[in-house]
Amino acid sequence: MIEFKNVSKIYPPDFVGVKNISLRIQDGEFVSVIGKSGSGKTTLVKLLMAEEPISHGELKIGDVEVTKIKRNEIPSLRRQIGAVFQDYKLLPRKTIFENVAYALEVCGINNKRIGEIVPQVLRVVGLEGKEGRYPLQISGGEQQRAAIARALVHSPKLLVADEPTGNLDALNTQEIIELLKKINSLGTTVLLVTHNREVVNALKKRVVTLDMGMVVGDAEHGRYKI
Amino acid sequence: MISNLQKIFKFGAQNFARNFWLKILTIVILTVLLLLINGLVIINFLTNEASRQVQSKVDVSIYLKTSATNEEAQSLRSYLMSLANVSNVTYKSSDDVLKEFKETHKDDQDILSSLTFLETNPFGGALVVQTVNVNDYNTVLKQLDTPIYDKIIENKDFGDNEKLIEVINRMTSFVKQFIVLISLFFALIAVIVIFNTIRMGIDAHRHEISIMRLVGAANWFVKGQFVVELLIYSTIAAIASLILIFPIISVIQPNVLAFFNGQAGDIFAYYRANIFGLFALQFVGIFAFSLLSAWFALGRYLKK
Repeated sequence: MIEFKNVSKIYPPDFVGVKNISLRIQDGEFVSVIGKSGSGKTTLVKLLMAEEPISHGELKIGDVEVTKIKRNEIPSLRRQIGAVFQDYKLLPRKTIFENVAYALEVCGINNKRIGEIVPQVLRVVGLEGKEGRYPLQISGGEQQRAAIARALVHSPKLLVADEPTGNLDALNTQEIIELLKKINSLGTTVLLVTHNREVVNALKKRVVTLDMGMVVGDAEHGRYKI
Repeated sequence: MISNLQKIFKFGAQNFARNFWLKILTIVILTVLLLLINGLVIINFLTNEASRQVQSKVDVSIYLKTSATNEEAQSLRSYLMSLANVSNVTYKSSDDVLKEFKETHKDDQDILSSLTFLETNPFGGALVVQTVNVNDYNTVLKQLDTPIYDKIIENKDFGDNEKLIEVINRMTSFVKQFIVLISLFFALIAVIVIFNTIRMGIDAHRHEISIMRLVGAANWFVKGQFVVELLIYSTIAAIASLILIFPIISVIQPNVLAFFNGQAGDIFAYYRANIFGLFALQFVGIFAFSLLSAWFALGRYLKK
């Protein structure tokens, strides 16, 4: 379970990233966080990833109190959270297999184990047969699939997708959303951060709406209207 | 753990291979700095050799009274030889002293003719003392300031040597301080060079490092790769400087040997005898200063 209790993030000198957010996300949920630019969506992701310290309040991910986390415990937290972004964050000089394996390599996983895990996740995201290609040799949708595969290699409890369809056309967007739903159906909690209301409305899942750093709506099977 | 280390070495080696020419330039600069430090090592060696040469020629003469018997002279010699800080004592009889005096003043007829007016040899015997360490002369002479030896000792001749030894000590001490100062200056240059290389490395790999951290790489894993790179720099620079120093020595060696009349100053022999120690010292030194730079360069970046 993820729990935000009156969480605020103030950037110096006094810019409010998020303000007094209280939110509870159960294990296995699919939650969309939606809001305009500057509403605090990205700040929320940064707080979850412990990229920024929390100014006030408490944030718990499972048993980990992110508010009190020590610097040397952050990598372990990040292995429990898969993250994908609009710009995919793939390494252009590495093949798809190497990009996915990279997440395991930098955590010291041995080659034998890497050889077992990577083909499995590539199969889950539908990239089998494209392991040897470089990011620029595949489509944007496939690059995002590769990024999702990399996010899954540590079998995270939570997958945070920050505008994952921002660079994709309608067809690829639909495919990525279907993939996220599939991952969610396998038991992973998914937090989709987006400003695309069509995507959210089509999902018919829980929607948390942010505005000016505050939660202004939280509805099951919600629809986003502005 | 072994797997972690393998990965760190793999990533470190890969990073080293990137920006190859920048890395080569860094190694060249480090090698030149080490060569300059080797120059200082040679200066230190030659200063010590010169000092040793001069000191080996330093001795103190203890002139005995004419009344001192041969037995008394031999007894004093035995006493001096028994002292731990005395390396050699040579006894000169009164005849030897007279002969030496005549030899020294062979061109001065006035002095030589004045000797003929004397019926007996005016000189007593003498003991020429050499100590293990040049600073021990005063200690040895103080040990002779007893009534037993006062009655047989006429004079102790150490005045000029004392000044010489003081000059030598001052000079070697100055050279050592100079070498430490210059070495620290070179070390500072090495720190700045490595610091900038690492910062450029960080800038070049910023995207990759951000991904590493995103997927849960520990800070020590990220830092470890840079440490491996530094290990490579330090090893190559230390080996290169030791390889290059030998041709340089071969150029200066003949002049140095000529200066010491072939009796000292064999830099080759010094390097051959100390090759592993010198390599270890240079490698550990350059690696330690590299780590210091890395600590500064990476610390701020990885805190973000």
